[in-house]
Amino acid sequence: MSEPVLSTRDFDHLRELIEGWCGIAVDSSKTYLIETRLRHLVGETGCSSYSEFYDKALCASDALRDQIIDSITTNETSWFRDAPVYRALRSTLIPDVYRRMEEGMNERGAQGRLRIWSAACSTGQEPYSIAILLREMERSGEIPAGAASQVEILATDVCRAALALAGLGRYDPISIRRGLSSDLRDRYFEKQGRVSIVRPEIREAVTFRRFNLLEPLGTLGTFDLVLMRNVMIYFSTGVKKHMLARVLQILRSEATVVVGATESLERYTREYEALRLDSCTYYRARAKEEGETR
Amino acid sequence: MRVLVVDDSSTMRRVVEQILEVLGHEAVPAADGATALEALRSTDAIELILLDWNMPEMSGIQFLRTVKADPDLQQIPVIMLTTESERRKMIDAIEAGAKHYLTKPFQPETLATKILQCVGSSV
Repeated sequence: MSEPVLSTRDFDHLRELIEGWCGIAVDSSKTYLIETRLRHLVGETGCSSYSEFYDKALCASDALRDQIIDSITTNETSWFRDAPVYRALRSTLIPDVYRRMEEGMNERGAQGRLRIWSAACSTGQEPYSIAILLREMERSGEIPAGAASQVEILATDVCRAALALAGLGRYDPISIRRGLSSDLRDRYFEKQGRVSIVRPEIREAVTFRRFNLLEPLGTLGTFDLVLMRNVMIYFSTGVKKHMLARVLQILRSEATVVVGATESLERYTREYEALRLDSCTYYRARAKEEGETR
Repeated sequence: MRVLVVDDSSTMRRVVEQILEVLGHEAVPAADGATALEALRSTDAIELILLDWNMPEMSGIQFLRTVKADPDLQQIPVIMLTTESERRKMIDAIEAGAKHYLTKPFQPETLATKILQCVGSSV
């Protein structure tokens, strides 16, 4: 049987389908991405062409759809990636949430729990970094004693394989060093041979859940901090606008949204206000002027 | 689970072995195609092959074609690892039967997720 060839028409069909499923926009210069990453699935599903595969994908089972999404997504990450963000969280943004909670200004009152969403957690470094940061803040008295174990960190990703790896909390000697000091490695990881394993108190602080950012966000609850770093770069302008409008609905009072260092929201929406802390830009829902509706 | 790691670079074999350890898999290392074929035929239950493209004597693509032409071995999934980033070579590898293709340098997590997609984890 001859090898299937990806025509421009098949490429356009498949990329539209993938964008519809998970919002990831495959640029037209990247036909090879579809061609090389989906080729094995074309064979495995018994299809002789990408056109036949597209027809099958149109009425795909959840399993096949997940396999296609897993094949297309990329997983780049490191510990405490983009240091200014973590400095801002530590110096101001997280202490502010606790201050508001203590002062009873927050709608949840003093009993409220800080909720954080890592929207595309890939292989787990971002949510685990946040869990480690909170433990460090607690150790040094920057947040109340016992506060770190009360925080809910929800970590989601569309890629099941990346989530599976994140959930294992096991890292090889190269991954564990990227961005993580030896002090933190010693404090928050156990060694098993060459593998570093996240300690239970950090692992248990994070809930991993497979989630497609095109799904309704309401099922996730509301958040004080939303990390959507290097997520929107994969989405088309339309999907970005739609997503940002929906994120607005799950933000608690004075909640913070952080995007990637090279991303900005101003091009897509006026509903967020950009704020700056040293070299970290973060966003909050813009206060409504009188008579204005969202 | 046993995974055959075929690469003439001992450093790369070690890096890949470390990633396999994260997933609880056992690496069966081979520095060239002939050793790798011998290992495939003499070692039970190799369930995945991680294969370099550029190797002396038998190249990765030749090795891949040999494996895929052997009815006893052709079902074993193969992930190609190479410094060659040209589109043509990626397509050659996929056409020859590779399940995934990664160009070096790659992030360990990227390879780990590809391995998970092929054979899952043993931990």
